[in-house]
Amino acid sequence: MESVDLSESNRLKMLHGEHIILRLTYISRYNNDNLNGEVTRILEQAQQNNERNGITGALVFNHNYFLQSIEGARPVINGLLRKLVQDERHHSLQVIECREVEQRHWSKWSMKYLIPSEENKGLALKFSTGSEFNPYLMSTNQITMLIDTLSELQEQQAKSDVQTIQKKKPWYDFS
Amino acid sequence: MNSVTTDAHILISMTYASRANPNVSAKDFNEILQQAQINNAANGITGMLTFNKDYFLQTIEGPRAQINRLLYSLISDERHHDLQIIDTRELKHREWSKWSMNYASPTEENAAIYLKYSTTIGFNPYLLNAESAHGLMNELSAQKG
Repeated sequence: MESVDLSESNRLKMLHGEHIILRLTYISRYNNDNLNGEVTRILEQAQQNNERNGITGALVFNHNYFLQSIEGARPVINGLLRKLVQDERHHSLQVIECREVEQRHWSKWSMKYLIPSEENKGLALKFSTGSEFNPYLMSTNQITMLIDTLSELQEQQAKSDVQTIQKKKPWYDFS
Repeated sequence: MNSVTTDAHILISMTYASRANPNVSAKDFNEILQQAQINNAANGITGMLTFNKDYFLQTIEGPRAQINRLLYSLISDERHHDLQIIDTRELKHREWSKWSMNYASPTEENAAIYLKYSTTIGFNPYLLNAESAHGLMNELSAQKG
């Protein structure tokens, strides 16, 4: 009996496009009235909820703008989008791109947090026309490249941090 | 708010599926279409709509900020529910530039086109992927001439 119920629920889910992985990228503006530490809270909530819902992604927070890429089952991503549109901690949300993908790009992270460091603060300007960062002026490619480049730099930084720690071990330390 | 209106240089298209609310009548469908045609023409939006009594499948194209503004009002429109974006992408040029809102509904003449892109008999856009939704709308439009 149980297997019948399961297949019935799977069938209904298929009617919603549950078999399609969708990657959605959006930009929005942070609400300046937010409390201190709100970005950290937003991130923690996203990580918990996403893990439960099979969503992976990356979040960039830069100069009071959010750039986010989320991926998961098509109806699940659309359900999240409806919530994001209503979330008052940010505003002016714009969907930039929404694509079917064969595999996830952020499968290792329920939400990878990318915050530009002191060293790569200028990176955003590499993809901008003006002297001020404004993702609303950026094309789909520029936004996607910025997220990907920040992600790569963070991976390189993490790798070199590990190497530095290993180098610091004195020669007589066998632990 | 300047920052959100200055992206008029970016052209995007958005395709979505939704379910018609049960109390939506044939008269409502005509109204939805006419309203879309008037509003879209004023906002530089073009597109294609295909529907039956249960479902909508629509592509809209125009400036990124305008398309997103329209998305907000579509999400809260009570004549349909369960809106699902199937595809959103930046365009080099419009595909529906000749129509503020082109449209087609299943008829005997176009039944074979619907079936060409469907696993089932009967139109259900939730079963379509981005590519087949795109192909379906293109062929429906081509047949109308």
